[in-house]
Amino acid sequence: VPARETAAPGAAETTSRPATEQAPPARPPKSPARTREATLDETPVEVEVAGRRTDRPSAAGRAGSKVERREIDERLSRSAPDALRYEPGVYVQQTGHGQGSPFVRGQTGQRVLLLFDGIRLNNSTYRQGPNQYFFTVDTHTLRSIEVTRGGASTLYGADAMAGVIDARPLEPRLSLDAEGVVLHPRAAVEASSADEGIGYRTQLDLQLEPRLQLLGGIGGRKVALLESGGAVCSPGTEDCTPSSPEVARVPRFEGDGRTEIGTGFRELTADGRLSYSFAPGQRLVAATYLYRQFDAPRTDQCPPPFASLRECLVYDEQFRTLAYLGYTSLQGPRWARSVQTTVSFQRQHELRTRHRPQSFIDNGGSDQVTTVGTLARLRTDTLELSPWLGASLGYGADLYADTLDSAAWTDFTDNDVLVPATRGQYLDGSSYQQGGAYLDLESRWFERVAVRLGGRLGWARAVAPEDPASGTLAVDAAWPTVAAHAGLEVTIIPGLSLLGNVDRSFRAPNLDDLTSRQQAGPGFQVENAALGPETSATFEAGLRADVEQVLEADAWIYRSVLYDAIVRSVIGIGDCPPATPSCAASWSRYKLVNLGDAATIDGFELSARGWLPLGFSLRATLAYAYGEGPNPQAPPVDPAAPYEPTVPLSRIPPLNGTAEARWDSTFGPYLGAGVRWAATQSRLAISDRSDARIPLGGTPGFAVLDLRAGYRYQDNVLVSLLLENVLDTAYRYHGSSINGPGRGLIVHVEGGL
Amino acid sequence: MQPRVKAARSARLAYARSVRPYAAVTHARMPCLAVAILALGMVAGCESSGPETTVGVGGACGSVAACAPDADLTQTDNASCQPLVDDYVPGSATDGWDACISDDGLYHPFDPNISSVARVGAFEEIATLLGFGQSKVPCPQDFLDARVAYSTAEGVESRVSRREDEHYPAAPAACNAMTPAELAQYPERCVGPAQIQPLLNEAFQQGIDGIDPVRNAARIEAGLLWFFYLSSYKEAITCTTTPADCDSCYAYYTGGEPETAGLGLSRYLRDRSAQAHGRVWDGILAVRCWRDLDNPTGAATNPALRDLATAQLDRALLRGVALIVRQRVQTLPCDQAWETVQILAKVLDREAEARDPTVAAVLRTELAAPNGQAGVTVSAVVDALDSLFPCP
Repeated sequence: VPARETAAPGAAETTSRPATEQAPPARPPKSPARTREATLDETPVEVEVAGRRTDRPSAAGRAGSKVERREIDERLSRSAPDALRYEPGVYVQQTGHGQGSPFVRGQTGQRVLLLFDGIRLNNSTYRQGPNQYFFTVDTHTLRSIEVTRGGASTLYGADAMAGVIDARPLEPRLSLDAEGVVLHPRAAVEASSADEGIGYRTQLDLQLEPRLQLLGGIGGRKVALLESGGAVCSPGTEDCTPSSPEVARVPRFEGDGRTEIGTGFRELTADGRLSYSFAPGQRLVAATYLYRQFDAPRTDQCPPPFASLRECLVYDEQFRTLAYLGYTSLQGPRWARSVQTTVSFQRQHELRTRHRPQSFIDNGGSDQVTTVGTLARLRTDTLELSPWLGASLGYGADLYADTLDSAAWTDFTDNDVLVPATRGQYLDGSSYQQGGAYLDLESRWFERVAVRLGGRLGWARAVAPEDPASGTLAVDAAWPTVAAHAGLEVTIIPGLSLLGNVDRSFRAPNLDDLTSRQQAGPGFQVENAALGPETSATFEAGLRADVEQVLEADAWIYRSVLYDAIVRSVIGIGDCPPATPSCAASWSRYKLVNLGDAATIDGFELSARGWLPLGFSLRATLAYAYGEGPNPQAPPVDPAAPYEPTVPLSRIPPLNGTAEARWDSTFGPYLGAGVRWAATQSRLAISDRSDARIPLGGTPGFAVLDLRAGYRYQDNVLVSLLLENVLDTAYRYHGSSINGPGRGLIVHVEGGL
Repeated sequence: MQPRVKAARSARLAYARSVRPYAAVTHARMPCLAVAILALGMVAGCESSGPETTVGVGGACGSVAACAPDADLTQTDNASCQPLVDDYVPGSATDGWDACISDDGLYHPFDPNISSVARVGAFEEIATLLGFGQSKVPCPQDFLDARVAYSTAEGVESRVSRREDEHYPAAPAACNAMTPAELAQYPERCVGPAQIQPLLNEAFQQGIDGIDPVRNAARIEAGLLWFFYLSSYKEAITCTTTPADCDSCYAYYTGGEPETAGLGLSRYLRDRSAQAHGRVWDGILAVRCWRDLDNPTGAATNPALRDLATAQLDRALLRGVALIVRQRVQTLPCDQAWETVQILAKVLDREAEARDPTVAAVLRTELAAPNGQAGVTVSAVVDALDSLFPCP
């Protein structure tokens, strides 16, 4: 092991076990003006300095937060979405044990952009509601997760209407003084009692020479049925047992009334990251990340409400493969001081089966989305136009192209016969392209005022073949897209800033909107080939305090206005497409429509972290969102019939928050406690009322206490313990199918050289 | 007509990425990407390959069966039958019922979108494919297509698998939460998963394999009629707490059609007895009338009125089922008819036993003749049915 492991030319100081993890969380440095070189937006190489810890995202002037490797380790998150449970303004919904969908400012799915190392994970099949895809990011490969709240389409393109979540991978470790080959093997095992989970990861950090490093790892996990704290009922229910009529219809329980049927899964992961620094400040990266999940039930369909216990919708395979080549530079010419370019290939594969063994029927479906993408992000050097005015210009472009394979079939297992359907959930052979180019100007005035302005022009195009047998129309549509933002940051006094942003973001309808037919949580959803784009305008104001060595606090209020929002609208049986009997046979049916009038989401977010003497620190968050929009249903003919002209938006999280306390020694051990809580959410959209994931009348509030302890020895040993849900609370995040784990222990042991 | 693909279980797991209807070839269109890119193929989990073979449906079919049990349907009404004194009679000022929404003789749904209608539609599709009541000898492909219609998501199968018979006391747990062994302990209450579903599974499976198509089609017909009878009654009962279930009660009987054009079970009754059909229709209107009079926007609070309405409905339905058995037994030795008689007569046994155990025993004995249909005395069965279920 080399004596010195530090920054190398063209590479970050961040390592496969970042230096930041090796020291106790030092108080944040005094840094009122973050250097542009460290921003998320364009800078390919992030500069982290050992000892610094901050919740601040690197997106300048924006609301957001960051989860670092160390916090992921200590919180012992079960998944990437799970790692965000303590982040302000983020609320994590789970339709299955092996799924998780982060809500940002009350929105999820298509309206939250997921990135991995700056590359879009969102593709054209992301659904209107929650999806499972962020779960396919292996937390063990992550250095940090950054959350930017609010619209951000100018920089990132479509879908960034409510926020952006960027998972940033570990980098290979550099050993500058070492000669020859340097090896850093590492292994970890993890076990959890509530779901009898056992996982492992082995990792090899290899430096062939100071300019060439490789980080590779493989991992796996197997988890069984999840034991919860018990049943969750409608708000205010006194007798909440699994047999109570007020109990949520999903999940169903085993005989103990705690163990949730339709949970458990297996997963395998592998990753490799090759980094070559061919010149000072310049780096070439070739990386691939594989995620393979098997046998993950969708809990609310395993079994569906009222169905036989043996009926179950299982994701037999949920795979994601990401590979990319990236070039980054921090030392380019003045007109391109920082450069990030990437060429990526991503494949999302899904194979699912609805097992109905009582009738010897398996309904199968499979979808593959292959995405080829490229992006370039550049920023000029800061031009000092006068002693009191400096400016830099960011610019770039991106392009992503999806192709889609989709099929569905019915398998009669007693006859050993497969019957293909004429179409899958999507239309086989569909394609989708989107891209755009942007400019982003940042200027600083008198070192106290920062003004940011930007805009993007882009387009999206969807092509899908028709399927006459199912009455599916062909799609060949294109939309121009426009995004813009303006921001102002005023440093009132050192350590106290006032921020304001106005943003216009967009999302063109994707292949899921335009072509999918599926049994969604609230009912059967049919496509609408005539949808148009939706846009959002975000108005937000924030107050940011940084008291050196003592406090870091943010307070934000916002209003998001959704124009032409794509939402579910109830349809009658007569509106069902032909040859789709499941539509007419379902209790409720929906079609996506553009709302004619604007919908709004108003809210606030508070977060604060304080550092106390003797290694103690405190952190708390609070978030609230209130979403409302015009009723997608037309008023009834009878004016006397009940009708609400405005209705809540779907699945808006309730008032929620967290509180954490932590003690960190200088010699290894740490202790911590965290409380997650949420108030009752009884404001339900029309589609929420038929969603089995939401108890009748809403989701009751909860408070869950977690205790943490552990020991670190430099970068060589890590033992983490989490006693989760100490009070064995029965709880559920609003809109989830699963109830949270009951009281249990998670143990993580990791060692390396 | 749907083609079918026979494939090894391992291959079918990923009939996924290149499935094109009407074609099935071995393929590996997308090799594991990790191998291609960075030689990380050591990781398990390459996407599985597709099916290997396609086979056609063999077996002779399409010929004409020896008989068509519904070839010569006649009306069987009983002129002596009159509504009971407390029966609901649409529009009547003397039936003892308060004026209600049903008095115009039409069914007024709580919600015009009734999902049960689609399940009756599936029944009619299956009936055409398998030639219910006709002389058709269905092909294996017909059975396969019928099974596809039967097994649609949220379709008939989904309800058969959970159907409970409300005539019997509730089991200690919901039938849909029981294991097969537990279901076997409550075959009457858990009639859907415990009796009807196995019957239909076997008939479809054998039909697809080309085994005894005529009899298996008849078993499917009888099993589904059993299901629709139970469902109409069940929805009337559960309408107590869920008003929209009254709509399903109506839809399971009529397919959502008006009195004179009903599908499914109502078509069977209408073809055999306008009187019985009319009385079932009145029973459905009675159920709707009860809910109109009894807190129509919430849970019902008048169990006495409910019991009147549901009893009226059930009495008429039972007469209707009895008439199907009566008509079919008279077409023996038609194979299809024998299957109908055996299955639907069991449906009547509970009520028969309650009304007249002696005659019920006669019925059971006749239908359990050791030499099958050849040993049945048709007149004895008809007399027993007329005695047990004389009026709707």
